[in-house]
Order: sequence, then C-alpha cells, then structure tokens
Amino acid sequence: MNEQMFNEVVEILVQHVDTINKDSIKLDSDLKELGVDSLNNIKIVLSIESKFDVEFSEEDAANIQTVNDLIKLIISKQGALA
Amino acid sequence: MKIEKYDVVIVGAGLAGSSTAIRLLQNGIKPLVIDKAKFPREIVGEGLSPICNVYLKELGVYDEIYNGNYFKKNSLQIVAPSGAKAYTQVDFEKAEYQGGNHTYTWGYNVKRIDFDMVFFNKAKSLGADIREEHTLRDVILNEKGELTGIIVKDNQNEVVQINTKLVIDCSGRSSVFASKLELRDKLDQVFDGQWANFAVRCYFENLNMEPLIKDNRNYHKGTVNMFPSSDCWYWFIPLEDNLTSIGFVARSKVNDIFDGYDDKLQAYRDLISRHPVLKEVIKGANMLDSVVATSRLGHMNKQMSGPGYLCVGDSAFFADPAWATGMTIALKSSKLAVEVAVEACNKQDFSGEFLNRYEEVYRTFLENPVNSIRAYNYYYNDIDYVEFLVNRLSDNPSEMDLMGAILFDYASHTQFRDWTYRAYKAYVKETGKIPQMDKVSQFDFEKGINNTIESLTRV
Repeated sequence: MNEQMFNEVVEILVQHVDTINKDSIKLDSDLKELGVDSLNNIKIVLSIESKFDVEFSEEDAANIQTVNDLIKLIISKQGALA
Repeated sequence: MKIEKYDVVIVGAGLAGSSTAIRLLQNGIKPLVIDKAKFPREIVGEGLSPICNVYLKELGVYDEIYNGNYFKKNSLQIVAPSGAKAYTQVDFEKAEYQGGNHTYTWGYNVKRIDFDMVFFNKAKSLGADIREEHTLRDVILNEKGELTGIIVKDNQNEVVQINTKLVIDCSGRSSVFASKLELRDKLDQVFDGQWANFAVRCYFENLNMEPLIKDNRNYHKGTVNMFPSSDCWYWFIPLEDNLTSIGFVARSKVNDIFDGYDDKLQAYRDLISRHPVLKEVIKGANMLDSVVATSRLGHMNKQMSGPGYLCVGDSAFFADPAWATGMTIALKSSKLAVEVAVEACNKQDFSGEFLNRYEEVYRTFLENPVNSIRAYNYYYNDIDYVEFLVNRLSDNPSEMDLMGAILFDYASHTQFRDWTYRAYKAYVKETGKIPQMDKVSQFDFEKGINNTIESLTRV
C-alpha cells in the first residue's frame, strides 16, 4: 500500500472534516463514520482532484465508502491517465 | 351481471392506450379499450421529443401530425431569474449529436386535447372497440393470483364483467388498476416524500416576448424555454402563433398557494410572476380560463408487469416533466408492451414469468430520463447557482448544445448528470460556496431501480 498517498488523503480529510480525529483514520475506515457528509464531500473531492490531478464523476464519488476505496479510485484514475 | 370475453383489454384510451391499440390491431389482435373519460379530454404534458417521430411513422399518424396545427420545435432556451439566457438549436453537424445519423430535427409542442384525438381516432378507424365513460371498478384474480378479468361500470351505470387473458393498463397517474393490485410504492418510500410535487399549466395570449428574444436574431418561435428557480421551475411552451403554455412544477412544501385568494387564476398568475423574467413576459397578457393542475407528481410501480397484465406509460412510472419524458415513455413502453403481448398471444403464455420481460426492458430504458430528472432536481434549487449555470451555458455554446441534444433525446442522459457534476464542482471551486440543495432523494429512487433490476436477474 502507498503510505505517502494514505497520508496525503488523511491530510485532506483533516482539512475538511472538523470533527475528525486524525489518529482514528484507518484504511478501512468508513468515510461517513469519520464525518464526511454531503456538504464537505464536494470539497474533499475538489482537493483530491487538484492534489492528484484526477477527475471524479458523480458516480465515482457516490461509490466511495472507505478510505481504501478513495485511494483505489485515485490510483485507477491516475493509471487511466498514464 | 353481463359477462363478456376479450383476449386483450386496454384500460385507458389516451396516448398510451390508443397507441397500444393501434399496434395490436396492426398485429391482427383486436382489443377492447375502456376509458372513464369522454373524449376529447385535457391532460398536462405538451413536449413531444423529435425521437417520437419514429413512433408516429410506425403508428401511421405521422402525416396527420406533420400537416396538422402543431408547432414544430427544435430549439431550447434556459433562462435565469436575472434574465441571463442560453440558447441552442438542433444541428446534427455538431459533435454533441454523436455522428448525427438521425432523421428528424424537430419535435412538436402539442395541445393534448387535439393531439391525443389523432391516436384515438386512428385506433377507432382500425377497428378498436373503444368504450368511453366506462370505469374500472375491480380486478378478478384466480386462486393462483393470476388476473382473469375486470369489473367495469359502463356508461349506463351497469356493472359488466369482462373476462380476459391480458390487461394492458394505460390509465395514467391515477390508475385504479394499479391501486387495486397495490402496484404503487408508497410515495414516501420511493421519493422520500419530497417528490410529492405539483404542476400547474396555464394558457396565455398576447405575451411580451422581448425578454426572451432580445439579442438573439436566431430565436425560433417554437423554442421551449425553461426557467429553473428555487423550489420550483417553470416552462414556457408555444403551442400556436398566439397561444403559449406556461406552467410550473413546485415542491408540495410550497403550501397554500390559494391562501388569501378568491380567484384561482389570479393566484396562478401571481405564482408565475414570482419569476422576474416571466413577470415581464405575462404583464398585460391575457390568461385563458383553462388551467390544469396536478398534484402529487411522481411514482414508480413496484411491478410494471405480472401474471395477466402489463402497465404502460404513466400508469407504471411518472416523474417531474422537466425532460418532456411523458409522451416518449408512453410511446416507447406501448411499443415494448405490444411486442411482448403479441408473443404472449401467439404462445398463449400470459404468465408473470413471460410478461416480466417487458418490465426488465422498461426499467433499463427508464434509467436514462431518471438520471436527468434526479440531477436536475438535486442541483437546481439555489438562485445563485442557477445564475452560474445559465451563464456557464451561455459562455460555452457547446455545453448548451449538449443540453439540447440531451433534451431532444439525441444524447445519453448520463451526460447531463456528468455535466451537472462538473458544473457543480466548478461552482464550488470558483465561489467557495456550496449550492443549497434540496434533498429530493433521487438517490433512493435510483437505488430502487437497481434493487429491482437485481431482484429480476436473480430470479
């Protein structure tokens, strides 16, 4: 697993989710349980897109449940570009 | 009680019912058609997509519509409350039309009171037995739960039993058939209760067109205008040279619209005037005393087919008319239903298993409009955001062309959802604001469709 990417994703989550406890974020953490909701969700998507130079569709965004899903999606999008 | 026997009975003689009858007759099957109304009759829903020309040809009414008093349309305008406008006209040369191998560049804006009669008369001329002012009272099921007949109250108030192998329900939003078989999901479950919208349609003469046509030399008189707003959206559909349908779809939470009014027409007029552009358009215009209102818009059947029956058009599914899907779905689902019905008659197999093939195809087809309706309702509720969207479309003609291609059914509706999401992200990025969204819960709606498709494929 890509530790650097995990840490970068954690940074973005911490930046946008006020209630989040950084140490509790694990790969299999459920984003909803971490406090990601329909409002901060879009800001996270935008930050991820600019940080990793990818583009998510609404469907992509809707299918992300865990931190791992998010990382896998970033990797697959980057792969699609390469 | 009088007892009659027909192989196929169609409930409803509107667009869906008459089209179904015509197609059955083309296949040598003579159905009985009953309808509670006396035709001609009024109904809301005036937008006929260009794609429907194909169905008009198949049904043998193309020439009559083409040469009749129906406004051809091939352009769309979206207008923001500030007066900002984006305009597009069908052009198959454009990339948005994906190769452009299409035949018809125009659809129609139609007065349903006249338009539906073309189909009604066609079915009659082909020999359909159409009985008006006949009301469905009950359905008859055998011990296995299969439909074997219906009970009808005829125009003399006599109760008649009609034994049949197949009922095709085309009786629209308030279908008695659907309620007798408990086919409708509770609105709250399907639409989270928030799709309990209402629609009002008014007719106007002598409108002030200036706000809609200024600075646009290409403006076509048949242009359909849409006015997204908060908690509601408005339409503007020209029907004749001096007759235009203006209406709106609003959330039911906009309550008590008649509060403080003695005059319903004035209440509707004031509601339309809430939109600053429409206010100018209808100022001094004459409003006809011909208003149709519908309530509790939006439903989807738990089942669209079963042992001995098929549900066609609005009787199976009805949504916000934002994308002019009503007539397309009626014509399309009627074609599908007849294909399955003809085969069922040939095989004499009217079992649920056999007829359910209809439902499968119907639901797959529905995903297209549902995507757009969902995206539209979900995002278009914040005036600031609507201004942003209309300005974006105005600045990017190719994006507006895509809207037209989608609305006229020449491009996939998933592209609308994708566009909407891109625009949504751009708005948040540029303004730092998140548009105020009404949770209209189309997510649940979509999940409902997926669940059904899953359960069908599991069987």
